[in-house]
This record gives sequence, C-alpha cells and structure tokens, in this order.
Amino acid sequence: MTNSALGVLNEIYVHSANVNNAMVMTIIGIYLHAVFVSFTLGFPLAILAWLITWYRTGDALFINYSKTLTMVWAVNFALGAVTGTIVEFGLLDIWPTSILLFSSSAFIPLLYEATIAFIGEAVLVVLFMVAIGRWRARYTLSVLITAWFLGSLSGYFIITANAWMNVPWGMGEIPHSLYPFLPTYGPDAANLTATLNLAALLLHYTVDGAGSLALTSVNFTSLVGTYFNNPWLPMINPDAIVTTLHTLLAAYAIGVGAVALAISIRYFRTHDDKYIKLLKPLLWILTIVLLVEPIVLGHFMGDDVVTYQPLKFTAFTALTGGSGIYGYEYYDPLEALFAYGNPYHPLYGFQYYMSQCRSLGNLTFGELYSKLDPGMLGYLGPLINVMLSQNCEAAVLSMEPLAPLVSAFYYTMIGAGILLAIASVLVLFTYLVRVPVLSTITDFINNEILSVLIGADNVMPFLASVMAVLSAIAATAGWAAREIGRQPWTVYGLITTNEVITGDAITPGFVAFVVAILLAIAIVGVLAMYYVATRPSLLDRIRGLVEVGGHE
Amino acid sequence: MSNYLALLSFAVLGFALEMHLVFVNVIIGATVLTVITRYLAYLRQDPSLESVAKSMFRLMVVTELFGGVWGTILTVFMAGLFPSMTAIFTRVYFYPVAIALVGILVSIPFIAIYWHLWGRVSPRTHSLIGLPLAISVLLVPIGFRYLFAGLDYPQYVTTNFNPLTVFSNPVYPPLIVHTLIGAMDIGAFVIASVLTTRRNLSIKGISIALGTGLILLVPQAIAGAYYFTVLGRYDPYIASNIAGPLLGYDPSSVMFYPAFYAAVALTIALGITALYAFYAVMQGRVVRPVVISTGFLAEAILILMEYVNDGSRYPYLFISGGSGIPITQLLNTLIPLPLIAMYTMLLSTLAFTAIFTITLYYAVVRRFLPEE
Repeated sequence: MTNSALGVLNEIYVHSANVNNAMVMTIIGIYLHAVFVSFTLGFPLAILAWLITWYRTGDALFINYSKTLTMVWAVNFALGAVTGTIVEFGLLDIWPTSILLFSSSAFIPLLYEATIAFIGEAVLVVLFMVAIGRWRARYTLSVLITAWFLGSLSGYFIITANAWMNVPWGMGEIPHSLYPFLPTYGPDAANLTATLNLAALLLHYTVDGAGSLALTSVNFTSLVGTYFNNPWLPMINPDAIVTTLHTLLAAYAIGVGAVALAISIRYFRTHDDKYIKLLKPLLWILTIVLLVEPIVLGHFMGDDVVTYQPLKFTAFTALTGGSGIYGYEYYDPLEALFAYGNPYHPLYGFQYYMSQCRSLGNLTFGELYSKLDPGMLGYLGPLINVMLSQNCEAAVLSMEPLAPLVSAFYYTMIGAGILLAIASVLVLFTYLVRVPVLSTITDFINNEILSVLIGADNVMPFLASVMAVLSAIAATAGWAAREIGRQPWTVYGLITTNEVITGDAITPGFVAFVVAILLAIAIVGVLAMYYVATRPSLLDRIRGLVEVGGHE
Repeated sequence: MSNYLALLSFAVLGFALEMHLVFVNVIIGATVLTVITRYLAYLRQDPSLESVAKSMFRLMVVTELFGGVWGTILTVFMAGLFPSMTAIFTRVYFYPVAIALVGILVSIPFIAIYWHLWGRVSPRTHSLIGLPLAISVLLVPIGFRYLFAGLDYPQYVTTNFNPLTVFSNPVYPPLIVHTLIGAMDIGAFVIASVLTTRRNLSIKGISIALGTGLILLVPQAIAGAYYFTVLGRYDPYIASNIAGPLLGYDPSSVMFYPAFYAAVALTIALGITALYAFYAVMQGRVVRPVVISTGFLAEAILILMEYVNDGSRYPYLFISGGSGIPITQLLNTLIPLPLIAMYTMLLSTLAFTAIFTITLYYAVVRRFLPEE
C-alpha cells in the first residue's frame, strides 16, 4: 500500500484523538443511562409480582413494599429521562453524523419512541403513583402493565435504531460490494447512486477533517437524494428483534435483580423472615428470565453475529483461538459447534478476510465512481487513486488490535451467563418447583455444600445476590463486546466511526468536566433512590397531603 | 406534495416546540422566583415566605419531567425532519448548545441537592445553593436561544469557521432579554394560578406571584419592542409578517399578524386582569377565577407570540433580510417521509397530551409532591 493511500485510509479507519476522547464520555453516559433504564424496566415487574401476591394473600407487607418501590421507580424514571436527554444530545452534538440515522433508518423508530412509548410511559408512571393501592386491582395492574409495556416498547424502538448500526437491514448487496466478506443485508432498499453520493460526501469531509461537516451543507439532502427507500424495514431487522428480546430480558434481570439484591442485603443484616417472603416472588421472575435470556436468546444473538458480523465473530474468539485468528482459518470446536452446528467447521481468521478483500482486484474509487456516479468524482480527492481492496484491508487491519479486548468482554459475558444459568437452576428446583432427581441434585448443592459454606438461611438470598451481580456483569460485558466489536464502523460496512465525530475539538478538559458531571448525576441519583427506598411511608404521606389539600 | 410535506414538517416541529415551551417557561420562572423568595424568607426570617418558596419549587419539579419529555420529542423531530438544520446547529452553535447542555447537566444534581437540603442546612447556606441552581437553569435558554437567533441571522459554516463568532449575533441580545423576562413573567402568573387552587390559600404567596408578574409586564413590553426593532433591521421579512398592514408593512402571509395582535390584546387583558386580581388580594380577597385566568392568559400569550416569532419565517427556515433558505431545501429527503407515520405521531402526542393534562392536574393542583 502506498504511503498516500495509507494516510488517507488512516484518516478513515484509525480512531482520531477526537474519537478517542469523545468515546470516554459517550461510553460513560450510555452506561449510566442503561443502568437507570434497566431499573426502570425491571422495577415494575417487581412491583407487579408483589402486587399480585398482595391481591392473592392480603398480606400488607407486599403493598407497603410495592408503594416504596413505586417511589423509587418514579425517581429512577426521571433519572433515566434526564440521562437519556444527555445521551441524545451527546449523539447529536459530539457525533453529528448520527443525525443521518435520525433522518433515515432510525426515523420511524426514534419518532415513535418519543411520541408513543416515552411520552406514554411518563404519563402512566405518574398515573400509577395515583392509582396504586387505591384503585381496583384490575385498573391498577392495567396501568402498571401498560407503563411497563410502553417502557419495553421504548426499548424496542431504541434498540431497533442501534441494531441497524450493527446490521444495516435493507442495504442489500452494497456493504458486500465494498467488503466481500460481509453478507447481504436483507432486501435491496437502498438507492445505489444516492448511497455512493453519501459515501463520497462523508469520505471527502472525513479526509478533510470531519465527516460530520458534510451534513452542515444546506444542499446536503439534495446532493445525496433518497438513499433509503423503505424506512419501515429497520423495524423488522432480524437483529433488532433478537437484540430487543435479549436486551430487554437483561434489563428486566438487572432491575429485578437490583431489588432482590437490596432485599437480600437487608436479610443478611437483620435475618428478618419478611425479606425472604418478599424475595420469593422476585425469584420467579429472575429465574425464568435468566434461564431464557442467556441460553435461548444468547444463542440467537450469537447466530446473528456469525451471520452478519464476521469480523466481530472472529474477534470474539481471540482468547480461545489464539494466534489462529490472525491466520487464514483455525479450529475452535466449541465455538464452531455453537456457530455452525459442527465442531470440525473451520473458523475464519483475519487473513481470510484480507484474501476476500483482494478479490476486489485493482479497481480504484476513481474508477468505481467514474462508472457509477461520475457526478461525485470531485469529492473523492486523494481517495480517487485508492483501491477498493486497500480500503477493505484497512478495515480488517483496524479490527485486529481490538480483538483481544472484544474477546475478553465476550468471554466475561459467557462466563457470567453460565454461572447465571447454574444459579437459576439451583433456585428453581430447590425453592420454586419440585422436580424428581433435579430437585434432589439442587437440594444437595444448596443444603449440603452452600449451606456449610455460608449458612443454611443465607443460601437463597445469596443465590439471589449472585444472580443480581452476575446479571449486571454479563450485560455490561455483553454490550461492550457488541459495541466495540462493531469497530471500525458505526454503521456496519457503511460508515466508520471517524466519519461520525464532530469537527469541534473534544479536549481532555472538556471530557473530564462532562465525566465529573455524569458521575455527580450517578451519585446524586443513587442517593435519591436510596433516600426514597428507606422512607417506606413516603407515598402514604403524599396521599395524606392530597386528602387534606384538595379543593374545597 | 413536497410543499405539503414541508409545511406539515414545519408545523409538527412548531407544535413540539410550543408544547416544550409551555413547560420550560414555568420551569425557568419558578426556579428563579423560588431562589429569590427563599432568599427573602431567610433575610426577613419569614416562615410563611419560605412556605411560598417551597410551593414554587414543587411546581418547578413536577414541570421539569414533562418539559424534559417534550424536549426529547422536539429534538427527535428536529433531527429527523431537518437533518442539515440540526447539523448546522450542532456545528455552528456547538458552544451555545454546550452551554445549554452544561445547564441541564448541572441543574439536575442541584435540584436534588436544593430539595434534599431544604431545612437540613442553615437558611443562609441553602439560599447560597440556590444561586448555582438558578444560574444553571438560566443557562439552558441562554444557550438554546442562540439557535433561534441563528435562524434569524445565520452564520454559516465555512472551512475556517470560528464557532465563537456566533456569540456576536445582533439578534440574540434582545431575544434573550425578551425570553428571560417572559419566562419569569409566565412562571409568576402560573404560580399565582396554582397557589389559588389550594384549599389553604397563601395570600402572601399569591400577592408575591401576581405582583412579580405585573411588574415584569412593563420591562417585557419594552424588551418586546426592542426585539421587534432589531428584527425590523435584520429581518424585515419577519417584521413585516408580524406587524402586518396595521403598521404599514406589506406581509407575505396573513397567517401571523392577526395572531400577533391577538397576543397583544391578550397581554393588555392580562395586565388588566392581573391588576384587578392583585388589587383584590391586597384587600385580602382572592378572586379565584380571575387569578387562575392570569396563568392561562400568560401561557396563551406565550403560545401565540412563539407561533408568530417562529412561524413568520415561513416558507424559509434560516432567514436573512428579505429571503432565506426554504424549508423544502432543508427538509429530509434521505427517505420517503411516510405520511402515515407523521399522522400517527401527531395523534399519539395529542392523545397523550390530553392524558398529560389530567395527570398534570393531579400532580400540580392536587399537590402530588410532599410538603416535607
């Protein structure tokens, strides 16, 4: 590769200082939002479990704790909304090319998220605070379930936008034409000329300093034209559906797990049996979610990566594949079994992808645009003499150094998932249902091994705590593997991360300031939730005020 | 079709903006008035004044959530329907947007801290904490109003564009003065209205709120005239559409000047109503319907004036002098905008706005936040 081609491709594929700085605060911001959102999605399930138990048993313990958790949920929802606003502006301001997604593939999902799911959830959370314990069961539960459903729907819409960045469904053959190792992404709903126009503009401005500047031209939309003909397609992206289910169940596990952890800690401190009573309904949810989520949905998620994101899959296996991942092909029986159903199936290393790139021959960007889109030749600049194969190889090479990190996150997730499944089985067959043989085995482990180690009374809350902590670890690691594994692209096979960043300098000082504020919000948020959680009569005091303070 | 889509998109964006502003003006006004009232309560050692400040703050907290929801909707509409306009905002107005974001980021912990520490630290310390809270809340409009000034006096991207030059926008000073006084005025009248719905009336609180609202009407009128003069100089197209033939202009549309004069008439009505309500309160009487109507009138004036301020640029978005960049040029053409999605969104937001209103009634009027 010539020096000039290398220099141009570095501008596109090697993260700039701006990207590296911006990533720090974006990652922290998104994780902070994800934590609050997970609680927002999980808490209503815990409230639901307690309310149903209250309706069935009449035990006031459950309604009292439902009310307390409702207040925590409300505070948490507000924190989720606030951090969501920060993330949204972070995307628009720090990663301005994401506006392109807002106005194309993510147009329907994001607009529906805001105008149906989010606004509806906001209204119903407050309405539920009015209703709980006062309205008839069916109305109260209806409001709660609808609020939870709208929250989950909100998750679906947001994840649909994210899934399109991982699997750009509807772009058909276009990514494959540029990177031959990539598959076809669904039906061909992209206009080739418009997509080439868009690519030329983004590449031009990226090489010139910042790809996002392309969008600031008032002629941008007319220069590009209609590049994506079916804005509804991202809603049925197979990755969106699987990722939504996987992520939502993970969020439920984290939310319900957080409640279970808090209850378990209270039990460890007090050994009051009421906490065991409170824990049991939550364990039902946790167990079912944690058996389905890692085993069933985790498998489908893996299938998606194998099918649609081959580079990411290779990176996943870096720790078990060893140096083989940098070669042409290698063998990893376990991964091959799950990926292809055949332990002897070879896995492809980075050299395989490089060889695929070379199949593009000596065709340069200049020649490509001369044939297909001569009007945009002027925008190619130094890229005009760069070969498509060189471009493709640069993408593969940029992923190689990240592979061990991606793999570490991936196997952390897998390890946590396996332990979660074991903990779920131990809880299920000892404390929730009795099944011959299986219950005998789990009883033995719980009563003969764990009991000896941690005390008989502590086993169930211990397992609940383990499930809570591991859920958070698995989700954190899994999301990191998914997002870092998407590099060097922001939209897989189409738009690189360097093409998305702002042209304004993101200085370390600015990053430090934003991180400090985010941490302050995290601390204040946690304290606010703790404050509300430790004041069990707060909602009733509000009710008292309402009764005294209404109209004459 | 393209023109219809452009108009629909423009209207949808305007609708979200109006809804957002209905809430954020109360947030800004209520915060500033809370901080001032709380400080006065400390100076005068007046517990009843402190109680008024608490009521103002409760209103602000409830409104904050709904204001945020509409802010999100507005942002998504903006980026989805007008991608280049949004990209210009984030590039050219990077620092103003950053100022607004810092305001949002800093205000949130301060709201929680201010709430939590009320009664737990000395009144002097608590009053001092109010200062950064008020400043952070004010930073939000101070930052975002640059975008509006930028629509009226565009400073476009060039290769060597210096983003600091946006701070010299001549339309901005009158706009921000008009905005901030207006927000405090609206906040004051809405607080007066809400306090009047309570069973245990706070005469002192209502009189403070009404008095503040009344006093601010005067500088607000002056700021409005100042803003109009500057618009007349830099944006004769907008000034003409706002003032209409009554002031000798030749407007390109009849959609806006009637609304402007209606808003002026409502402002006069608000002044008279508030004066009467204030006089009655000073006599120890609270004429509930009259006081409550001041809040509604203030919000109605806001909606009409903002409609005129933003709508009168139609069919342009960025406007300079007598013409500008048409909406159709900036409208999203990257996808075929699906009309059914637009209608669904409108219907959904209208339906939830209705439920919103009922919920707001419970949240604010029925005092859904604890007093202690």
